[in-house]
Amino acid sequence: MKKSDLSVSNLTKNFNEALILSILFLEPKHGYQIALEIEEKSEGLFKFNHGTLYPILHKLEKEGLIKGDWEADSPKRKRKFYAITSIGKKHMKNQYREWENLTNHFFNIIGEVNK
Amino acid sequence: MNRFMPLLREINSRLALPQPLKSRVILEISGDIEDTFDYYINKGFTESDAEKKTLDKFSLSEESLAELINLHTSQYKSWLNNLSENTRAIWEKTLLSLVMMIVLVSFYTSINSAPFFQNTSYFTYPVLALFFITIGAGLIKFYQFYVVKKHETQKLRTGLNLVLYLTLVTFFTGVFGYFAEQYLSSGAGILSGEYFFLGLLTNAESLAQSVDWMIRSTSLMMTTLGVSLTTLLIWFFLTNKAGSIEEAEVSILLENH
Repeated sequence: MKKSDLSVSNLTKNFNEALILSILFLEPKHGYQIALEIEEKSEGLFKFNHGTLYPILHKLEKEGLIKGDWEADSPKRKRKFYAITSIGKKHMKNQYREWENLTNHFFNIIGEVNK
Repeated sequence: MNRFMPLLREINSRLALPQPLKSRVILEISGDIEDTFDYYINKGFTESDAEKKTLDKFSLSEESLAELINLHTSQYKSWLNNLSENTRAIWEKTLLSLVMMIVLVSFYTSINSAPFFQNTSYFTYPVLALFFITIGAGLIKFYQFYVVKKHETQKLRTGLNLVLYLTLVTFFTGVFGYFAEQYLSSGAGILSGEYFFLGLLTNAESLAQSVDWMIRSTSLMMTTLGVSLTTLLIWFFLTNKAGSIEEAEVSILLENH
């Protein structure tokens, strides 16, 4: 699936998607684990409310970038976990380069302050 | 009663999604709520602090809910869902059942005779074959819903749309057959344009052929409409049954949580 390049107008959306895909890059995780891990790894800087998380997870799933599956701990306790797909991995690698490019340009501009 | 039940109930009431999507989203959220709470307890928080932190995490804003709803609502699915849910009141169901019974009894009485099939179009047979396949697909779902009764919410509607698609294929096969009969008859000189009625009145052979064509076409269309209506009804009742099972499962989930 071809995704559009990073645009400044969609920065927050792309930022959240990149965080989620990066967390899922190594292993499948449950929704709550994704949110907590982002919070832990960013030392509390990126606080992910689940209200924001579910629409993004479901959107990424619809786009085929991640895949959701159910596991049952017991008949009454079912949990959904998400895994990144091969398309998602490819997309994330492209996104990484784009984020690098974007932040380089950003620091080029704001770096003037320190000169 | 679970401490997070009020929150789940609130999300359930605000989440305007068709089933089974609604159940799936609620199920996903409820699992994550429990795990988040356990996570905070394991981190050493007191129960009330863990509960407070979990509730903070799961406060779904109107904006997020709207985004979630928009993401999952396709017009086609809403239409299908509404089609079977529009008839809700008891008197509506009774009236619908009565009308259907009259139509079906008169239909099956007419076709249940040897002369009917001796004189019918050849296209009636594929229509009937499709009807029996559709009945088979419907019976599988019926068996799952009423006999096995071991429901998996995620797979509840799997195969239901097949009944609807087969009904449409059956119907259009019949319609195609009707026009094909007309085309074939025109080739045989029965329906040759401006002299059609004149031919009927003056030529005994043409009249006999025309009557034959009319009988074949009528029986084909009767069969097509009758079996399509039957399978459409089967789909309608199975869809309603799936809806009620899903509603019941959401209630059980909220009660148990």
